This record gives sequence, structure tokens and C-alpha cells, in this order.
Amino acid sequence: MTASELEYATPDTQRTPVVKLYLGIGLLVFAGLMLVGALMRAAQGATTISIGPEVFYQLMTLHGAGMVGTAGLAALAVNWYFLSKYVRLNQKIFLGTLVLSLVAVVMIVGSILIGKFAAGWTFLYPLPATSLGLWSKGAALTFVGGLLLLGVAFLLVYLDMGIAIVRRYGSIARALGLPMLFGREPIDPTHPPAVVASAMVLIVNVAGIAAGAIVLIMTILHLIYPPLAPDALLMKNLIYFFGHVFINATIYSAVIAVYEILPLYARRPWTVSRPFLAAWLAVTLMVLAVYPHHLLMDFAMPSWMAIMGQILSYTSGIPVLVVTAFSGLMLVYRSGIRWDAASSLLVLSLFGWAVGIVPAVIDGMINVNLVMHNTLWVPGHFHFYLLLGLLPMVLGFASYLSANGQQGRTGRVGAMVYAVGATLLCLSFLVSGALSVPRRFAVHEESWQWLGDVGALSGGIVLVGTLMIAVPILLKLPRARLASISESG
Amino acid sequence: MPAERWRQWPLALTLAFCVAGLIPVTARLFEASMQAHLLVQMPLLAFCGGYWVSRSERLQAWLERADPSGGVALVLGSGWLIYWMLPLNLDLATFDPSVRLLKVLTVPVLLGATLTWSWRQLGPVGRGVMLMEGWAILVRLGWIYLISPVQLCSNYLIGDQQRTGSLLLGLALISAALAAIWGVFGPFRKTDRCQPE
Repeated sequence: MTASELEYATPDTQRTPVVKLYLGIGLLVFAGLMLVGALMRAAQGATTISIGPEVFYQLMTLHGAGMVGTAGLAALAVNWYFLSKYVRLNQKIFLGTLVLSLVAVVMIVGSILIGKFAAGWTFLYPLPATSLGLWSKGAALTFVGGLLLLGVAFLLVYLDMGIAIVRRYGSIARALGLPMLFGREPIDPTHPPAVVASAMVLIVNVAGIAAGAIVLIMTILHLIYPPLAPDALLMKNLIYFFGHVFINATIYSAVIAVYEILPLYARRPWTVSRPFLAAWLAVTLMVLAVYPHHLLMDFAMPSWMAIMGQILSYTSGIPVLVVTAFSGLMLVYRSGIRWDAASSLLVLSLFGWAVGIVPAVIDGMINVNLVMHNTLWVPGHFHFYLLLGLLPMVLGFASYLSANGQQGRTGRVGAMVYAVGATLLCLSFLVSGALSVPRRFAVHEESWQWLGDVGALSGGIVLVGTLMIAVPILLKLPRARLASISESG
Repeated sequence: MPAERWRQWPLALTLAFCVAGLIPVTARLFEASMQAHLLVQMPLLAFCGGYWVSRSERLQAWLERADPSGGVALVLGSGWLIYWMLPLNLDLATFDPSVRLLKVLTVPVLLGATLTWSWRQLGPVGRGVMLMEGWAILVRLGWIYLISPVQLCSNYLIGDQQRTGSLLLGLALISAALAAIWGVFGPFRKTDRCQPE
């Protein structure tokens, strides 16, 4: 690191402690929610487990909201940790975000387990207000309030990140590399990919949170005063804009772990190039505009939006994915890389990200969507994307930082068990979708139940693999010297 | 000294708007439509209070002692903003002289001055949250005025209410576009820090 880089970087003593908290809490919650997921799949199978539709939908809401929130926090930890190498971030704000998020989690979990709220994590208007007596207005208000608090928590840390980026790079556009992309400045090979990715995440997530701040308050107002009825389609658009952007941003945050850690293994630098910058600019714009592909079933949507959703589904994500996957493979090829838990998980994440997009592209076609949208094909896509894309990035990051990736045989076997279990789980969803098994059904037809059993079994394997990787990390985490990453490569 | 004379303007401006808000002829001009009331008079009154705080060194010195962090001012200002966002209070101010007096006297002080002081004292993150929340309030309020099934004020008809809603949404749209340009390409000044390392 040069002297000027050190001047801007966050001091090492401030970088590590809160990241440990994020990772520790994140890994524990991930494992717990995996158990909930396996239980749901078992309830859809032929096993004797019967939880009843009411509990099923509560668990579905808990699993969805919990996984999205935890994915957001874990990806934020990756993003914050690596961005803090280049800009001076405020550790107190980062901690404040965690504390506010935990309060939000208590509100969300309380509304589900005590208040029996079960409208799904998408809180699709007007469902929270039309519970047919299954949950109270207070439970719905607490759930929506929890999501609002989570949004505020993320906004705080994003503002801090944005200000720190502007202080060092002059503007978000410069951090995104636009002057280099458009030839106004020469390509600077030392410009960190982590900063480019952070700038993209900032732009899209602040826009998403702004939409969330509106739609959540409108939902609250409708709950308090039902005659105030906003347009349902506009509300759905805002909800999906918020939700789509938020969950997409998790993978664009977490991929920073690949950019930062894989080069240390391969002993080759990951430098920015014009295609790399162009890909990140393209994905910044497309992530904001692609969300109508969630609303292809809504006949009242303007046709141009549905067509835009379909076309952008083909292209959104692919530029960055191609650039990242291709560069990643080139980086690894004949590099004499050391295969341990961390490096295996990071390369696995590229596979998961690449393959996980394919079902989404297929489902993003209007005619296919009319048949596939309400089947388990869609959970197949997002489980592939998150379970084999995002989570290995987070686990690889945690493994590298806590144990330098050297988790021995247990870590390597754990990564393998995880990969096999997760692939099997995703295939069980995708095959179910291909066989037209509907999603969000608490109880399945007898002929579908074997797929539920396969799903539950593979969910159990994923949980075992996760624990094999995560438990040693959790044991080492309190004493781990996370900041050693820069020297250990 | 001309400069000294300029220093007295904020106070004079505030007093002028307050008096104008109380004299029936001029008050009627501001209160004739919901748009003028909510989008012209209220911001003008708040602006006067804010301008006063930013110019008066004596007031700043007092506030520095009374509320150094700006936290109390933020709570007071936000609370008073919510109070005046309720259509009932806006409505009352058009025909109840005591509520009109309350508005004219307190909006500059308890809304404009307090929010300006807290803005000055907050860090950049706090300011960002204030801006974002302010923008979200514009959208929510505009949306509510636009879709409300009932006439919210007895003195302003539902058409007036819906026009106000549309204007608030338009304002939010323009400010979002400007904020996006400023947020991505700003702060539009060359510093030594924005040179490549």
C-alpha cells in the first residue's frame, strides 16, 4: 500500500471487530433458517412431518424475510470490509447498522412467531391488511415496521460509504470508472474492482431503499386507515423494485470477495479494464430497469414494460457475470492455485452465479413465464443464485479471514458436501418446476411428494456442509486476526 | 455600513411574512388554494426561520449552548412538521385566528429554524437521512392527497387536494432526478483528492 492509500484507508484496528460480529451472527442465522427451509420441504414431502398450512406460511415468511435480510447483512460485511481498505469508513455507523438491523430482526421474527404474520416476505399489498383473522393488524404493522427499520439501517451505512468514496475519488461516477470508460482519463490499473462494485451497489440500493421507504409507509397507512387504498399495481411495482434491487445487490456486494481473495491465491492481480467498467455500468442501469420481469403475469402492466423486462432479463447481470467468470477462470488457469475451503467456495460461487442465472433468463420470457411463474421453477432459480452463488462467496470470505482458508480436510469435505447438497436441492426445485409443481403450496399432491423428500434430504445435506465449514470458523472467529489478509496472500 | 444593514434583513423578512400571514387581505392570498398554502406560504415561513438562524450569530451562539448536537432541534422540527402535515391543522389555520397566529409565529421558529440548526449540526450521514426522508415525505403526502377517497379539508375541495398531490409528486420527481445527478456526478468541484492516485 502506498502512503496516500494508507491515508485514506480505515485503520486495521477499526476494520475487524464489527465484521466478526456480522459474520458470526450471519452464519448462525443462515444455519437456523436452512433448518426452517428443510422443514418446509419435508412438510411438502411424503414424510410424517405435518406442520399445517398456517405454520407453513409463517415459516415461509420467516425463511424468506430472514434469508433476504441475512444475505443483505453478510454481503454488506464483505463489501464494507474490502471497501474499508481503500476509503475511511466509520466503524460506529457500521455497528449502528447492525444494532438497528437486529432490532428489525426482533420485530420481524416477533411479528411472525408471536403475531402469526404469514403474508410472505414480499408483503404484497393488500394482503397484510386482509388476513381473514389469521394475524392481527399489530402483527402486520410490526413486520412492515421491521422492514422499514432495516431499510434505514442500510441507508445509514450506504451514506457513510458514499461520502467516503466521494472524499477519495471525487464522485461516485469516478469511483464507477466512468471517466476511464469514456476515455476522458487513461485506464488506471490500480483502481480497485472493489470500489467499482461498491459504487454500483450504492447507486442501485439507495434507489431501492427510497422506493421501499415509500411503499412501506403507504402499507402502514393502509393498515391504519383501510379506505386509503393506493393503486395495487403501483404498489406491486414499488415492492418488486425494492425487493429485486436489494436481493440483486447482495451478490454484487459479495462478489468483491472473489475480486479481492482469488488474486491472492492465484498470485495474479485482478485489474480493471474497459470491458470490466462497461459491464459494471451496464449492470447498474439494467438492475434498476429489469424488475418488471417479476410482473409478467400482471395483465394490466403496460406492454412496453413487460417487453423491457424480458429483453433486460437476457442482458441484466450477464455482462458482469461474463467478465467476472471469464476473468476468474483466466486468473485460476495454470496459476498453481492452492485448493482449500476458501478458494473452492469462491470458484464454486462463480459456477452458482453463472448457472443460477439460466433459469431466470428462461423464466424471464413472457410466454414461458405464463406457464412457469407460479411453479417451483422460480425458487429453483433464486436458490441456485443465492445458495450456490452468494453464500459460497460469504463462506469463502469467512473461511479465508478466520483461518486463511486452511480448514484442513474438514473444510474441503465440507465445501464438497455443501456443493453436492445445494446442487441437489436446486435441481429438486427446478425439476418440480418443470413438472408444473406449484409454488407456495403448503401441502403437495401425492405424485409431487417425492420431490419434497429429495428437497428436504438435500436441504439437510446443505445444512451439514454449512456446519462443517461454519463451526470451525465460528470457533476461531473471536481470536482471528482478520486484517492479516493483506499480508497473507 | 451596507453589510451591517444586510444582517438585519432576515429578521425583517420574517416579520414581513408573519405580518402578511396575519393581515386578512394578504393572508387570503396565501390561503386561497391548498397549493399556495402548503407549497408557497409554509415553505416561505420556514425559509425565513432558517435564514434567520443561518445569519444571526447571536442566535447561533445561544443555540450552541442550548442544543450543541442539534438533536433537540431535529425532534422539535420533525414533530412540528408532522403536525402541519395533518390536513386538519392546515384547514383550521384558514378560519381560526388563533391557529393562524400559531402557524405564523411557530412555523418559522419551530420548523424552519430548528431544522436548519439541526442540518448545520448534523454530519453528512445525518444530512443524507434528512434529505432522503424529506423526499419520501413529498412522495407519500402527494400520493395520499391524490388518492384520498374523502375531502381532507373543509375549506379546500377535493380537486384542489388532488392538484396539490400532483404538484407534490411532480416536485418529488424533479428533486429525485436532480438528486440522482448530484449524487452520482457531484459534488461538482475539483479538489486535490479527486486526482488519480
